Amino acid sequence: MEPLESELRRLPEISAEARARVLAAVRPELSRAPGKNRWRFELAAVVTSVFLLTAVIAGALLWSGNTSLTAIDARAGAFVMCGVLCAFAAVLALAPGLRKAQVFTVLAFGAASMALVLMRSAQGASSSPEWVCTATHLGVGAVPLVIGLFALRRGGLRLLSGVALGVAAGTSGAMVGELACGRGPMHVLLFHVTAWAGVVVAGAACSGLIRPRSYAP
Amino acid sequence: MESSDEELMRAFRDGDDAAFDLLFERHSRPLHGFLLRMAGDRVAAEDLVQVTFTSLIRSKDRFLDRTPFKPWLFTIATNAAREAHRRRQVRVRAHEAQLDAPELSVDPPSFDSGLQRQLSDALTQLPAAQREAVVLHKVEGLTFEEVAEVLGITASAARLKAHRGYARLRELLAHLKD
Repeated sequence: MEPLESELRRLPEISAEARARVLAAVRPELSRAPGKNRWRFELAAVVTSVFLLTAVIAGALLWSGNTSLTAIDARAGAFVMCGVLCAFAAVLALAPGLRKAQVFTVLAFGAASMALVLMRSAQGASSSPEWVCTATHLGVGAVPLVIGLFALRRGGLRLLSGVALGVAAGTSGAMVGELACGRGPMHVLLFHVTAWAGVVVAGAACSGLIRPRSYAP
Repeated sequence: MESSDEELMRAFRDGDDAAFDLLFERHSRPLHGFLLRMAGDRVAAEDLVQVTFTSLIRSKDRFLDRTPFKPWLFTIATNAAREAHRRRQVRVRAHEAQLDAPELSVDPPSFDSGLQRQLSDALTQLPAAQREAVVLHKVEGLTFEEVAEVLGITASAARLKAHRGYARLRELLAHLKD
């Protein structure tokens, strides 16, 4: 071994007092430590919040007569795609050990948003302004995004996990858009997909701004 | 037979707090050495050891059965050290902007011998990624695959950073041979 290497390996010792001080400081955390399945519950909370929000809004729209089971059935493909993407992106965002695969959520987001545009056919005019779709998309996306960011603070907080979380949270708005909006593909591109991208950007931005509670991967 | 780190961490994850004490006993010294090399001063290194073990506790459920413990622990420590460095840079810039003066008091040296101090100074002159790769590989004995896992890069990139960093370190300390 070279002298430099052996000198590098000569560890400056931490004193016994300092070690005792550190141990005393971290010990109170033990009583607040999470259970062994905590991250799975957090993942389930994000996915459930997306589906629950969509179900509640679908129920309200059906009850008020603004949509029908036939109309929902006609867009079943879009719902299935968004649901699968939600679970896929949430797993990549929140499950440990998958950081190398998180980039795939960007590709999946691009493919899914283009599919939503291409699958859309206009189903009649609407009297509400077009920006209402964007505002609704951002509003319903905020709920799972906040839940997911709380989870990410406990570990895995990084740019791409924020992006993946944004993709997952944004599927709620995408599904509500399929339920409530009958406008054509250009509207979907300009007012739905951009709002979804906004949720993704918000997830990425928050991942850089929020101070993590843990630096675990 | 002595339990492996992975067995202890799994036991801790599953509710055995005594396993945490054994992990702390085994790893607090090398972790402090690593963080001292990263942060350059003793007080900051102690704080980072505390942050690292606090993170370990708060995220114990994120330790998976197939995960090797040491690279996982050093990933936490590296993330904490990077974040501390980033915040220190922000403070330095704010200080400079406030006083319009580039000097900021430097923490007192934390190494006993002159050689160790020069080594520490040389390490701080390396780019962060090279410093991390050199210390993780040469000091902590992690393989390049493990270094890559810690730094979130490929094994070949880890090897390159470690070799370049080590070569630069030798250049910086060449005068010690004389």
